Amino acid sequence: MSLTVNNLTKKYGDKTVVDNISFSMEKPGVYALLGTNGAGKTTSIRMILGMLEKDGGEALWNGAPLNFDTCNIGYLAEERGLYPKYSLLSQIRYFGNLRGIDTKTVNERIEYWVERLKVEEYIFPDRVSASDSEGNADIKKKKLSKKKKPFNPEQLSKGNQQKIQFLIAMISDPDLLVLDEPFSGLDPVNTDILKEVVREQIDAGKYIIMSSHQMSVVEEFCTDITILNHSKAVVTGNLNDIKKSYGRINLILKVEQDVSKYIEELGIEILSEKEYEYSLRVTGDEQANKLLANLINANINIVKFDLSELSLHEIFVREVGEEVHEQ
Amino acid sequence: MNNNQRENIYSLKGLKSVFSFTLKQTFKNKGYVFSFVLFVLIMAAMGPINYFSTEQGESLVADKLDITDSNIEKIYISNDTDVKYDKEDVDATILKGSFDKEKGAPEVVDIKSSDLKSSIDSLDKNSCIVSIEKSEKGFTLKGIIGKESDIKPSDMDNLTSSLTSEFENTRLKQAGISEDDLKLIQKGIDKNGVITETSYNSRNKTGKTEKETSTGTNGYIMVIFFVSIMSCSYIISSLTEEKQSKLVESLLVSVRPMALVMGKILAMLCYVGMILGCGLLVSKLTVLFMKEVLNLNMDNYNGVGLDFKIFTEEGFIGVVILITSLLLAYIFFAMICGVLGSMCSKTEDTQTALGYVMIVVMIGYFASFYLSNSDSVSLTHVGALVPPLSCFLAPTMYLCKKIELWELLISFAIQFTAIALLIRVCAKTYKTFLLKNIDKVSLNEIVKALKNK
Repeated sequence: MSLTVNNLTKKYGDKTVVDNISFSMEKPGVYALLGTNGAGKTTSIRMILGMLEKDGGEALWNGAPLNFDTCNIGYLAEERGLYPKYSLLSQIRYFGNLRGIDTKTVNERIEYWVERLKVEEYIFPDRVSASDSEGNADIKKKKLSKKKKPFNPEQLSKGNQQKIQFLIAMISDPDLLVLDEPFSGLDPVNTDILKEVVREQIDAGKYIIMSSHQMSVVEEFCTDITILNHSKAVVTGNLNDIKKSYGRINLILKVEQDVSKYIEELGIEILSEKEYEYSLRVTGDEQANKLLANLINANINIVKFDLSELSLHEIFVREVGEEVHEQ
Repeated sequence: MNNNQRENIYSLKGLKSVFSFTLKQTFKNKGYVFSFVLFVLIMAAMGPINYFSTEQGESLVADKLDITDSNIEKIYISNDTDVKYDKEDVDATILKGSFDKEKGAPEVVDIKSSDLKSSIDSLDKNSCIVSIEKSEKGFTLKGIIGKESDIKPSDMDNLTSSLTSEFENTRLKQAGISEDDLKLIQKGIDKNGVITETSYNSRNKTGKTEKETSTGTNGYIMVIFFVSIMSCSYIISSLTEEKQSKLVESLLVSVRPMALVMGKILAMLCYVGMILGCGLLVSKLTVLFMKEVLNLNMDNYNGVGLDFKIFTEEGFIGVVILITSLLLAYIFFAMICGVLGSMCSKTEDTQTALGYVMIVVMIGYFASFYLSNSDSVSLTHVGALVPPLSCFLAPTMYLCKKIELWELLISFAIQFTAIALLIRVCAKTYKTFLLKNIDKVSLNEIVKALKNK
């Protein structure tokens, strides 16, 4: 299986909102689509999935135009929603049926995912209330006699609604999973649950496209990225290669005295300093090694000397020139 | 190789799931269930309402006797004619009417005509005499009270008027006239003076009276009107459901917009069809109950044209025409709703869209009423061919023989073409506006969507 996106373009009137974007996924993994608000991420995803007409370019799955006829797609949209008045179970089954999955399989998958995502109490409230009251016959009898009404989405918190939407995206056991801001609005416990599920999907050989503003999360999962800025791809490729191309220019130095003299001597930029722990921007390995040599020669005790590549967050800020607030 | 092939936006994959889900949710919605019950009850009540509002006036008791507040305690009957009309008949008339239950019904006594004079002289304050005589001029029924009588003249008028009608009915029945003929005599002759050649020919061809054809035509127009009004608001609000609940994107990776629209429209068709079917069935049962259990004469009150009698009387072909025309009319208006509903993303938008649809339906409704009663041949033909008028008019105009079969078929073909065109427009607009919020619902936006702007 492979995903290829070639010269994807979208225009609204004279305005180009997505300009010649290309990338490909030859093997399973996570591909990150990053960019500032309005850079064209969601429009690109909509075009890739075939729900928005393209003004140019193509999105191919195994060489054929990508749509839900040629590829089993799971999609967690950025603009999330559920039918507010209908029961959750009926909605999940509806999405399963739309995919042509038989009722038995849909029910099996629902059973698996409600447990996996810990949403059983909302989907099967009776079952949970019955098990809660085990050992107390009176309460159990009372609870069972008064059947709990199935939950509607409006009775759920935003985070739990999001988990149900994720369940809907997973109901077809998709080959291509598109997650647009999957972790926004989730508490740390639920974020961990979802991260674990994403890892399982990667291990299961699924292709995942992820769009997120949470760079640490993207860095955790993604092997390849595209950064969009003002409708254009400014960075595309393997994350490690991209990082290498910027060189190792982040230096964390911790000492026991003021060493700013040695740093300034070499023209190194000090990004921050707190209790003799310096965050420095060097030009490369050579400049860092020189600083290390000078400090050793001056008999300065070095507690920490950590030379590293730029983080994805730094690369992103560097490329799009704007500060992105992590959510 | 450029693989950017245009997607088939008319694909109906997933239609069945959308249809069954929408229908299930419709019947889980209290509002829809309430509307369902309400419409069925209205249809069921049409027969009885019509019966009680018209049949009473046509009953053989022309004037109902009301002597509740009168002082009449005793009535002497003197019948000097060959018609058998005595105490028994007067008692029956009083019992059918209203009187003071505490005091009881006035006593009725037969007297001989020879005793009339002496009876008049001995009349007390609360007694009266009803004298029936035959003369060269015809029959005379008189009410007589004493000089010092407490009985008011108006009460006597009421009494004599009721007894006159009853005596007349009894006289005619004894002369061998049936109840049906009696009704006709009471109705008199319809002086529908001048009629046109078209009406005359239509009446001759169909074998139906003007009243029968106009009841059938107006009934059908009303059905189309109700169905359109009812289903349009449901369809428009149903189409905006996904946009309002922000579900569109999740759905679009499972189903194409056209399948979504058609699934909803068909579910609504099923819902409206069930209302019509149940309404018709309950209406028939109500009429049957009134006829068989209450022994009322319901021959002419099967639902005031809402029972599609004008079609069913034609047999199989009539039923085929009915189903075809109902389906075409429903889908025609439903697709207009589909086009306008696709632009809505807020409740205000649905109101605007519904307003536009209502204008089209109203124009069709009122113009059809006018044209169905018009004697203008050319206007009738235009109305039967041009949608939306043809949705209301074509089938009944054919059944009334105002248009020929080939004209009906052309009318169906035109409606079908209009629907096909609307489906194309709907598919495009729905796909365009699903992921786009527009400022206001307007024709201009539709044109832009069609031009892919």
